[in-house]
Amino acid sequence: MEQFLGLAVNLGLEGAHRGFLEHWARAGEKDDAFWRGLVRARNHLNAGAKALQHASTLNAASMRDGCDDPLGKAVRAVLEAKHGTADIEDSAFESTHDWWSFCNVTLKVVEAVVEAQDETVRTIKEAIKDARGGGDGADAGALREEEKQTVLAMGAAAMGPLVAQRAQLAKEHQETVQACFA
Amino acid sequence: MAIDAVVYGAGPVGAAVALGLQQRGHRVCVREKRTEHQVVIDAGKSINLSLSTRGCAMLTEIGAYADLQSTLIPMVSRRFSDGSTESYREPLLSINRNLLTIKLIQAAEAAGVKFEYGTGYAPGDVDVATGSVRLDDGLRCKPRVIVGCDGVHGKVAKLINPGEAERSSRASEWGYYELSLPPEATADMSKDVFNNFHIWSGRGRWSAEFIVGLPNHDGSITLTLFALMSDMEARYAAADGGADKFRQYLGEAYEGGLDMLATGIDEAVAGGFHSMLGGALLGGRHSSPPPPPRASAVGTLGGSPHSGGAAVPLGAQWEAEAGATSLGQSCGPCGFPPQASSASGSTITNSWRVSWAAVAPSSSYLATRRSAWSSSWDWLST
Repeated sequence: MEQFLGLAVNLGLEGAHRGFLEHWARAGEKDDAFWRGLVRARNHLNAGAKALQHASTLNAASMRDGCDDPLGKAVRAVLEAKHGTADIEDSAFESTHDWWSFCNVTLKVVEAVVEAQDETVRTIKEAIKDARGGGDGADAGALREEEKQTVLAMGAAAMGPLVAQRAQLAKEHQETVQACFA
Repeated sequence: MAIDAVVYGAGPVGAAVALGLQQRGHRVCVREKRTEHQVVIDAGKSINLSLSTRGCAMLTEIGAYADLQSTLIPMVSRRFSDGSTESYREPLLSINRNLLTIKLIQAAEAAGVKFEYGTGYAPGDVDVATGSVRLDDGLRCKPRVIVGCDGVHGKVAKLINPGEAERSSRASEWGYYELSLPPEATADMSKDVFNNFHIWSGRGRWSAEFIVGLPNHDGSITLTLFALMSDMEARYAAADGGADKFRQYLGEAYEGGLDMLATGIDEAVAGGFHSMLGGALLGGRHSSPPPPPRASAVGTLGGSPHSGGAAVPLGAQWEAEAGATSLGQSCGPCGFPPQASSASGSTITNSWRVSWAAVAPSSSYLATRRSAWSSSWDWLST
């Protein structure tokens, strides 16, 4: 729910900051080419706004992070405890809310990270439910010790690609913005 | 006339970007459709916003954060009406939208930004052929950029992309309405309870509806009810004992005695929830899938990309153009008096609550937030 009351204003301000004012730090004359570059750079952030739309369809009623079933929350908690870091910029796994609120990576990139994280959680959940034999109770939130080990093992394999994806997307974003002013 | 940038809309983003442009050596004029009285004196009811790192980074960039520190209230966790909590990594910062806007306008005016009130975008104001803009004095200027911060129903985006006018007019069937828990209703709350993002989930047949509450410096909590707009006026018609029915609904649907404690009920019913309509969520919960975001949401005026005069929607207008829900940027006129008198931390009446002024970084938010917040929560006991 915080996304509604927070992400909109934070996204709006980020759009004005990183999609607009930030580019004044670039060397060179603020000529027509600069202004056109500014428009292109701002456009490049559109996916960040799209993230808000995505959040609204996922979270309007749940007030959670798009994965609010007990098993999903349990899986997320194990992964965040293991792969989260004190500095979110170095973190491999955080809640959607934390990525959106406290990370300095642009929302355009964060949206892709969140999607990938969600997919990881979904995959692990399905594996656990299968191991439980499906049926009633298979999606219970309490994880047995061996299930936590399963989460950690499957999560460990996914974290490297998640971190690499974020770094690659951030790099591509910066290159694209640079090119807007070339 | 020597104006480099015309900003349409004096909301938080409009005022902030105007300040930023002025600081960067451009002469800026902000045009706002509301009167000055409506914007800075009697801004009306307002939603509360929760600022986080992204928003604070912008406010720091334009030098406005330090002045806002004393107005921010840290919210350390989600707190559900059953008393359970989920802690945030860092506190979110509650601020009244009107207060944020007023502070930014004051800073922009002090920096030299010209504000023209009662005069939003009108047909003919912008000459698309030349990119020139007509100002209040009747003279025209040819700015380097026109910035559309006039909300999701704003005109600048439609000026740029006339064929897209319908996109930013797609309204969700969901909306929100503001109520309040007055200071006397929260007087017994400890600081650990008060300084949270409060959530009341609807019970039983009301499970799709919910209320969130954000704290204010005067000890009140601004409540935002989210519900199906089409239902509200019919369910609680003023002529049919609507206020009593609305209180009954609050009692049935939510824990905590909101039916007895919340204020603003009579006003909501008497007004037919019109403020709720004004605060419609856009883009979310469509009955049909929303259209895909545009590949390009902005264009240039003058029919040629080489004519100069770039026009850029920002804030809610940008979000709507890109196919996003918008909230908090376009609340519309909504009855909450501006809290100018309580803007200073020194006016906090409930001294047992967290005083932001006592715990906030003294200079740059970004430079100090990690050391101040991430290592421990000790400051909560101050």
